[in-house]
Amino acid sequence: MKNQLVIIGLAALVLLAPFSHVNGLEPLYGGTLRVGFATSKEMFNPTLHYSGVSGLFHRDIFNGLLSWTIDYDIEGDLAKSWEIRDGGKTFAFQLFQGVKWHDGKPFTSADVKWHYEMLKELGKTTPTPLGPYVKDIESIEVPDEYTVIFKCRNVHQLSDWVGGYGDNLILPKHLFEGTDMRTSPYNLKPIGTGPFKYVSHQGTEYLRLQANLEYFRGRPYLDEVVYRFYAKTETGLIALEAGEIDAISQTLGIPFPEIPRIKQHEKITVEGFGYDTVIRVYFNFREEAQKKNPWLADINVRKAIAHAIDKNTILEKVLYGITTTTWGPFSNRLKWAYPSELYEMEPKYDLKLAEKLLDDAGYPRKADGFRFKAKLTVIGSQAVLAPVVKDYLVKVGIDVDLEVLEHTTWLATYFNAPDGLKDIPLALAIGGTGPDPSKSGTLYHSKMVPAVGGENCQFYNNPEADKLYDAASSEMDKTKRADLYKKVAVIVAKDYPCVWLFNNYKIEAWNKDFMNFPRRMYAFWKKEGQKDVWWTKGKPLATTTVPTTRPVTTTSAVTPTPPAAMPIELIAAIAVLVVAAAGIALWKRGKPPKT
Amino acid sequence: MRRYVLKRLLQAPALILLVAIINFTLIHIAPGDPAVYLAGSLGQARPIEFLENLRESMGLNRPLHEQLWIYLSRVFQGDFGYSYTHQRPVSVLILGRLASTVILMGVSLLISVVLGVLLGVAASKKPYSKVDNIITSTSLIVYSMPSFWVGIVFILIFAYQLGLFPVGGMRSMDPANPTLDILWHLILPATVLGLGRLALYMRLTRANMLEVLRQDYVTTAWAKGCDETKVYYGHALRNALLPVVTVVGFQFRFLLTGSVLVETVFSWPGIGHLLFVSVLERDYNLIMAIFFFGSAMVVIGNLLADLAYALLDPRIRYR
Repeated sequence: MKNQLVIIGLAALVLLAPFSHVNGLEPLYGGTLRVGFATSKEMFNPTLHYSGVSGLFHRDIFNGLLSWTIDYDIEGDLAKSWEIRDGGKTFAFQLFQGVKWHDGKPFTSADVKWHYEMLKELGKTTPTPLGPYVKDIESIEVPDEYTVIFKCRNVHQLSDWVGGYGDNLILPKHLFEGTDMRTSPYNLKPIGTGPFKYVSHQGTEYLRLQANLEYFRGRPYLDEVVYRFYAKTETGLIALEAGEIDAISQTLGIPFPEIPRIKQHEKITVEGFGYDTVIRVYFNFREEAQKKNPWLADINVRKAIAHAIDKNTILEKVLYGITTTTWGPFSNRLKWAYPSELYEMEPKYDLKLAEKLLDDAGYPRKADGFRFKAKLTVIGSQAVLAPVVKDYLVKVGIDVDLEVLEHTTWLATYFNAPDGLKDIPLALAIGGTGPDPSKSGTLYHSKMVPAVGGENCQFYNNPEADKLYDAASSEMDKTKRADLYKKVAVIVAKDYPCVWLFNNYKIEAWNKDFMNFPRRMYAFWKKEGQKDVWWTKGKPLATTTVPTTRPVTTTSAVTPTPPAAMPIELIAAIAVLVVAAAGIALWKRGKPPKT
Repeated sequence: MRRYVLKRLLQAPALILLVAIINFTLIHIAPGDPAVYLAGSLGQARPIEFLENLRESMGLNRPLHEQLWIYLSRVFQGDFGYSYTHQRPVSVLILGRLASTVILMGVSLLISVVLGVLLGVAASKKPYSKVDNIITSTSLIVYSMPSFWVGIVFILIFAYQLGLFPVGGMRSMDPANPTLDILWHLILPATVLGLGRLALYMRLTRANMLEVLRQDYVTTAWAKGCDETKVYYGHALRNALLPVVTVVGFQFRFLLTGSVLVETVFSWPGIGHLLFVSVLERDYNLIMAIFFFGSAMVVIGNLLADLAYALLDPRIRYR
């Protein structure tokens, strides 16, 4: 019997092997992915172009030293390994060998040295996200072609080197050194080390990339990626349904009311995800605000407001379930540093409890049915949630006066202004905590007020939290850092400086002919762009070549085909195996036992 | 006539300068500046010195009158400044989109004027008849519908359902015939824009035709035995067109400033959408440059309208 089973197993292997690519078992090569993207700038230099929408396609063309993983760990990109020395003041990176620029020149440590020195110089006149960190670099040594050592004046975390907004992506020294970067032709014809090479673009209409067959981590599955730019999410969605594009990137998204319909689409998949930034209602701790709104100082009133907002219903009915709730000074997506107690501490929706807390706090309903007035200022991007939050607060007797401001106006009025939220008691905005919990210190450390460029525009102040943030920022051991951040998260959460609502969200949609599409992480953080996406109608590697020029037409037909059904040959093979197994079993049963 | 044209041309710079000063003041009144936008787009805390350095590099820390003086003296040398959000010279950005904007707006203007005038004449032939009522009410309904909504509906019907036109953009990749390809992409957005303004020209033409058709010289033309075409198009329309020409003159600026809503819906790479985004991003130099050219186009448009008057009505003479 054992021998028969072995024979059946081997037969299965032989018969089923040709079908191993079906349903994502083994990726295929070839094809063009056409991605709908939000209208971008005609500028392909990631150092100069730090705009949210460009994050995705720059990562097809360029690499950085490090990158984030989906679990917010740090992994190497161009750096194969690294060492942290001198208590976090020295960072030595060992680079991958055999990496080439798209023009064939070798990538070496000299490129990295030049890049960071360039950022330092550029930072004097042009802002870059890494600016504050590179300013602290004392020296950059390159003992050999694949080693680069940064020596800093102060302690830094490894996360400071990951960056993510574009200027962390290494530019070619041999093309930019000695030139005026602003007028370089390589801003429009970029040369990088990434899995895709620039082919052409047309203004801000489309950008065409081709597979880099010599990519150091292996060529991408796709032959080409084309980004088509759309100014309106509705237009992008129609283009996807019409088959003009194959996917919609998270920069474009799809309109909320369309989500339920598109989820039913037989040819399109939609996925939303929450990432590391938190949408929150926050309270103003400035003296001026507290004098004018004495209820702000009462933690029970703040708790009442937290209990008054039904996050789960908002998530289901307004946000169509595309993200998750969260609680605490940084997102629960940062699992390694997120304390489990916060899941228990997250306030449940309880109108009766909210009313009781407000009554007990000395704010009973007056003749007009309201307890007190409260102005809620809202940044434009959260305009969808503003009236919903208002309604919940009105239900418990808080007379909310909404002020929704356009993005830059809100930043100028409250975020960057030295007096922050001024005397406004409530704000609804995003807290950009980022992929590392240390960034939440810019929101909750008492020193990080707007006057010094911090984001603590609510002027929250907790000395215990400050100490923990300070200790964590200089702690290099990840386990100890995690403990410190877990402690500070609980301490801050207990103060109720905010009603943390949701992880900020992105939505992606794609034709089911393409696999490995969903990012589930913010485009800025993920390396290598579309490298791992593959087309179910492609071919095994041996039969695929990348043409030098090709018209983009046929990867998805105007009427996209249904998802891969099981082919008849596979069904026949399985049937043969089942019959063979049954036949052997019957034959064994009919055989007389050995005596 | 020549003196008149020269006089108008000499007045133009003063007018444009006044508009530039007003625009400059209004833009700077809005909360925020390019530095705030750029720092905000980085998503993290920025040290105050970072914002200050940024403002200094852009000249934003100087007094307003100084900024204005610097700006105007550069503009009169042909330098419209640098866009910090696009990281490119402003003139390059505008020139890069000029052709696409002029094509879209020019064709849509042609559609609205030609169709509007023709429908206006048709409606005026038998006022309050069935034909007149259908033309008037249909054009008013179309005029009342927001252009971005009409655009989406057109895309859904003609691009998605019927597959006759592309969903958006100005060009396909690797088209067999680039000119025909652009025309193919142009049809929907130009039609949407043209329909939106068609009612205006239709109503104007109809009202003026009804007025002109009552004149003695038209009665004379009928009495002389002129055919319908000669009476309507040869005699009456020429005089009825004067107000239409005025309105076209005012619309001239849109040839350059484009249409934000339609360009956005159709992802047409025009100056209208560029202007909209530059306002959100507080890209002062770009906003100012677009307004500058827009006001220049108004001046030119009005001048052309006045010259057209003289062509249409020989009684009009300028001194």
